[in-house]
Amino acid sequence: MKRFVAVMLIIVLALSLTACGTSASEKTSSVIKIGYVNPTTGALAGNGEGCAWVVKKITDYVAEHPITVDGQKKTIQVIVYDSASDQNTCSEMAQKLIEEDKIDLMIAIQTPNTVIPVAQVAERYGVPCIATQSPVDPLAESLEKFKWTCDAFYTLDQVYESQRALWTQAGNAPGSGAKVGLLFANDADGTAWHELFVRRLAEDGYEAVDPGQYPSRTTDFSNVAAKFKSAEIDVIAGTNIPPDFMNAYSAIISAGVRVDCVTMGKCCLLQSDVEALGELADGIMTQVWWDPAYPYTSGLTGIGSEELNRMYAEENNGRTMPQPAAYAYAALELAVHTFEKAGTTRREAVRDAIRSLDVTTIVGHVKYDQQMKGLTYACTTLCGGQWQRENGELVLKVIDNSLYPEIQLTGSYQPGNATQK
Amino acid sequence: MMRKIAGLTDTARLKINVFPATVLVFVILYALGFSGILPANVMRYLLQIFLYIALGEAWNLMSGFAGMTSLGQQLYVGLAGYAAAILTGIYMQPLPTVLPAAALVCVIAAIPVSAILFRMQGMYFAVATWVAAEAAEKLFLNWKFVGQGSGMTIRLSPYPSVGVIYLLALTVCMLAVLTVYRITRSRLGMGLLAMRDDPVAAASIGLNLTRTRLTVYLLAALISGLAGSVFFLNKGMIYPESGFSISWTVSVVFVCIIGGAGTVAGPVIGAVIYVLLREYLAHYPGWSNIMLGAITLLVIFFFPEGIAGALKKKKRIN
Repeated sequence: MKRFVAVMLIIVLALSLTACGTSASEKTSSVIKIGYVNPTTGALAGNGEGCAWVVKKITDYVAEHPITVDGQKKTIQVIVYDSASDQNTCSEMAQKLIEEDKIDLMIAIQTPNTVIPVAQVAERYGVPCIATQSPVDPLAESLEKFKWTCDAFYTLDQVYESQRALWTQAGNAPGSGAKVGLLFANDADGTAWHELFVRRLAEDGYEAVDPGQYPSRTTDFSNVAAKFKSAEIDVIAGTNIPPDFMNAYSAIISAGVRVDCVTMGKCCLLQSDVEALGELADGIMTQVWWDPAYPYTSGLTGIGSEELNRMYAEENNGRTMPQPAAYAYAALELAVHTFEKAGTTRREAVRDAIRSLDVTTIVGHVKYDQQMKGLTYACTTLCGGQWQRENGELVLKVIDNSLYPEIQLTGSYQPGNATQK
Repeated sequence: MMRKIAGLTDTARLKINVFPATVLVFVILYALGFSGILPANVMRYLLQIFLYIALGEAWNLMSGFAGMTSLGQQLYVGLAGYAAAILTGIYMQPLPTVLPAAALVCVIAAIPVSAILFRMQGMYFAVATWVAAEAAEKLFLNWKFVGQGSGMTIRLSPYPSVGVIYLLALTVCMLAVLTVYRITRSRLGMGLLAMRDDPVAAASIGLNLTRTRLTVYLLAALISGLAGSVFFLNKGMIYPESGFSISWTVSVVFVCIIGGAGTVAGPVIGAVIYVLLREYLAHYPGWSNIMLGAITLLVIFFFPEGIAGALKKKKRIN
């Protein structure tokens, strides 16, 4: 038996050795390599849902419609590694993509927890990087100057204004003196949101009830619940990863806190994450960056939002296409447009091509014409949404479009279990 | 009896051969690093192996040789990473200053920490080392100077290439291996083994337990600090969760158990297996920890002394 285990160990090691060299040897001149670090497992796995499907769709499309780069027709290969929702692993996988797989372009996507470490590695190695799904502020704060990365998402001022519009719909308009309980983790994303929310709440005549930022993956929120209870808050606002929000929300509700509305980023975007909250999910409000009802059509594939959602549902047991998956689709669209425009895989030319993009994607128009600190970015759309039950199933309705009126509303504010005051 | 003597003779012969062979390997690795013929990807693998060897040797020195099982070596990995980030990001110090300074910070921090930890033994000591690392994580999470949970970036301009980081990692690895090798063949090494096997008996024959434990603890902190600073130099960023994560110790325990705790060669073998497996399993999301756990169990069941221990038994290699 010992000999068998020893032989097995040697086989596993030999397999590892051969596999370690596989990717680099696969590099051929007819393929453009795109690196992609995805939280396939771990706390952010919900955000990584749909990645494989999206990658296949765009890869298949380019296989049928090759792009001319360096004078020859080329297809794309998207190499995806799992970050396990861990920032250390994000850096390691980004390095692996650059040094082992010799990628031509990096995609940094799926919350600032993934985007920041991946973009930083891309900056260090001088690899062009398309970042998305990270609010501009925390990414811009993380480095003095970004030479190779461009972000396409919204700013935190827009998030605040979007959430304020939702509070207003729930009867807590600016100047009302409503008490807003803040729920932010002590990470790059939470810190950026926290600073801005505290400042803007005071400017708008709200009272911030701030229990302080908590370490991510905290399980005991009894102090937060007690503070919210004694302050008799009207609103819960914040951004959290799903396990943190689950724990915090349960503790807050168990403590007997009753509010007019709950507005949450990150953890309440996906049906699967919200369903885990059970009955309490009904009525929770969140940001909508993309919805099947959006009026945009991909400039690359010609597929509209509704059609894309239908295709996704058909191949994924009837599930609605998650917002992050739509952004993954858009990021890969941008990548293809970039190589079409650059006409080469030379890094400087690819970087310049990203900056000069002016295209319509499945999530809307993208033009990198704005600057925050050292980061070039494009603003994408942002609306307010509410999870409502329809025939027993939770559906995200677009109930506020004050920032982007061209986007159609799909519902109106409804009191729910999360708005019990 | 004759066989025993023959065994000893073999051991003595191998002792003479292993040391120059090790030095020769390091010379070759340096030559490869300086020549620039190694591809960046190979250097990336090797530098990770070097750093896990160094961390493994440090943990092994404490837990394998001295019997001071630690679950908190990440304290010094994180401290060194933050020291590197602060020195480069805030005080704009150059690379040659950063690594020695980061290691020095670890040694200085280890002195008061050891004063508390040494009041405990065995399981209590192990848990206390973990608690110390957790406390440090919470401290850095709430310390505005280091950016709280947002983490810090290591800022060096120009940023050292993978070749430079390879050479630094190799140097740290060499220092770790040779230091532990020398210790195991010194009076201190014999004291460690005596202390591990029976502290009371060791003290009764004149071993100063406190001094011995402190020496080992500070050396382990120094080596872990050096390795930690190069690790984060390679990553470019540090967060409290990444610096002080228990996963550092989990990885190092894997390295030592697979390779063989209580042997100098153990962490070398374990680190090679760990890094290659981890890189390979990156292609199979979710399987990494399952596979590593299964392999650890198999090795514990069938080779409780690790691969180095099994080979040593089989071939009588020292």
